[in-house]
Amino acid sequence: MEPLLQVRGLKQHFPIHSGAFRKVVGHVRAVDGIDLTVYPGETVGIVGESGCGKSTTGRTILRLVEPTAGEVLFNGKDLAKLKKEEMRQMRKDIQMVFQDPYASLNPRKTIKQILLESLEVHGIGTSKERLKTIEEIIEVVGLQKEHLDRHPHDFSGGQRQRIGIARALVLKPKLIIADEPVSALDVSIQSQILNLLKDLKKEFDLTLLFISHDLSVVKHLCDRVAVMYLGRIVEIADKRKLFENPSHPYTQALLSAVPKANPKAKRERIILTGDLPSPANPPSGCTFHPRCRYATEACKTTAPQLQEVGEGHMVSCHHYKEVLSTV
Amino acid sequence: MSAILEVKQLRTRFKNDRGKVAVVDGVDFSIRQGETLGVVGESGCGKSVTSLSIMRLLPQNGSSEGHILFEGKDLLALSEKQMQSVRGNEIAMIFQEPMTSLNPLHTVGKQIEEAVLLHRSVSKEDAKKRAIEMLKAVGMPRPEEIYGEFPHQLSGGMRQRVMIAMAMACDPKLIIADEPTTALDVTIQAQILELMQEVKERTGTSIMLITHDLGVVAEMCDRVIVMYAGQVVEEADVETLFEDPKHPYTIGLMNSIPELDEELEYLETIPGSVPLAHQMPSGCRFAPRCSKVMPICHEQAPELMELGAQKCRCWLYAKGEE
Repeated sequence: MEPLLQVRGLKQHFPIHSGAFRKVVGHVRAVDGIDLTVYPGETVGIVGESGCGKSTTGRTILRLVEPTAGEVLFNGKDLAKLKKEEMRQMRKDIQMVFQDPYASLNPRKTIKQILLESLEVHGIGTSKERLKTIEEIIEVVGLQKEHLDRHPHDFSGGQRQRIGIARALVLKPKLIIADEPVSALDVSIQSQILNLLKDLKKEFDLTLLFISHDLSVVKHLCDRVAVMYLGRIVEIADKRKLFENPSHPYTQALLSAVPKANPKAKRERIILTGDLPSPANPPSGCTFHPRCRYATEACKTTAPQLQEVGEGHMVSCHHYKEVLSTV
Repeated sequence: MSAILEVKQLRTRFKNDRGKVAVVDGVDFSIRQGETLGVVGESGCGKSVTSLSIMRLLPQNGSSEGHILFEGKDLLALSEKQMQSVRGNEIAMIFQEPMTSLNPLHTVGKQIEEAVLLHRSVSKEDAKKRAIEMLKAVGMPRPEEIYGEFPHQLSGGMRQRVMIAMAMACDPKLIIADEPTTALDVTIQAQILELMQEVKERTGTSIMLITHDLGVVAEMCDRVIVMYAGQVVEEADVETLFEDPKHPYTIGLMNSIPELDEELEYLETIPGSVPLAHQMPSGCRFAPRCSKVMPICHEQAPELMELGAQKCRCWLYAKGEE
């Protein structure tokens, strides 16, 4: 199958300015060389902790921030090279759902105006057809036609996220990038939205890039998962392989850190010492080595590359064999 | 074991344009010596307001009725001055957002010292020693240097350690921790939970842990109360709660969380959302969202009933009904 999205060597370095002349004194390497392939119809998750570059990856793919280097092939076309107008056209096919349903809907507009806007911008259909489309979509996401004339403040967080999803769906995009779409919601509402996303995946054959810090949510929704640390993918595999045979020490620690809702569960927790290093000044060699219990001299000097350790299972660690033997 | 804190029929109301709204409505629970009590619920269930009521830190327009007995004395009857000697001394609090609850203009050392100087008659030097000792106790590297640093120089996990050091500085008998790890990443959360567990074992202090995360509850707590719409709907020891949850809300909450070690096609959901404080449904407050709703639920509000060691506010378990 032809991949829908192919990201190659994507980098996003933000300059750090200092002094009276705002001289560039360094770079925050938010995303530092990412390769990722997404096939039509699949849901790929990107997990990691704050500051690992997962959100920046999503935004860079959509060119909401211009990439520093790398290619983003969407249906074979390099998005990073498109002219502004071509890119604007392209956004019809790639839509985004944001984390904060309170901040991402214009409070002065009615839901109807919010949903119609993107159809109007892209000049799709007659005004009658547009109205019909949004009336259908609003029901698909579990709200009613009557809601269209209301404003965002009339809705709860969960309902607003439904509207955010409806807005992304209205253009029938080929790819949706969802950046922490359920993190701001209470658990009982979170499950409603997760079920909705699962339904939509089936109904619209959606391809979804799902960015989240929550491993359980990612496991529930995704087919394939990439784990990010300090701007790089350290492990990527099918969901089942990743959760059953985590082969990167960071993935292992991350999985073991999630509290289990079972008071009798035995805790074998790998406690990572220290904090996430600054992406402005990442450690040498393998960027995880200062917190890694398998680290050796080689890890301090040589950065490991992603290598295949099983079918579709890539890990960037010098000691993955040793790590795997502890699973 | 004796109860260190007993909350009886606590009712906290806020005045607004529409009149008075009860956000906490008849809450009863107790915390025993050395116990960790979990308080679980979703946003708006009144769990944070309950803790602010205990600390008497409500905003101007809030007022509490009922009894909050701390070692037998009623906190609601104390004067503000008497309350000040309890707050931060006998009962300490850890908040969710360490950045907003630390003063950005003072060094972290000074802030820990402040609590010690306020409640203990010690010299400045001894207070400083105590502050450094506390920083060491919460696992801070280079405590002497950190003493002179400002909150913005520290990471989120470090700041939460400072909050814990501050709370522990006067050897409180009870610590109220309001979502202490919610703003932290999982690996940092694991560090902080381990630290809290260790502090508790070392000092024998009681903890009231407010959280929405059932995983954290399962790991940390001895006993749990589940709150919904300003009321306690279920109370049980932690093992019973997870093995045999009784209230439909508790059951719904547990089933709506995706778990790492199980695979489900769909999650169970609780339809609708939490009712607003000024639009409480009559009868059982959970009735409009409940999958097991019966006619009586809409008519009459159930009491918190005792079912063996467990308590549950639900008509399903009423004797003589059905």
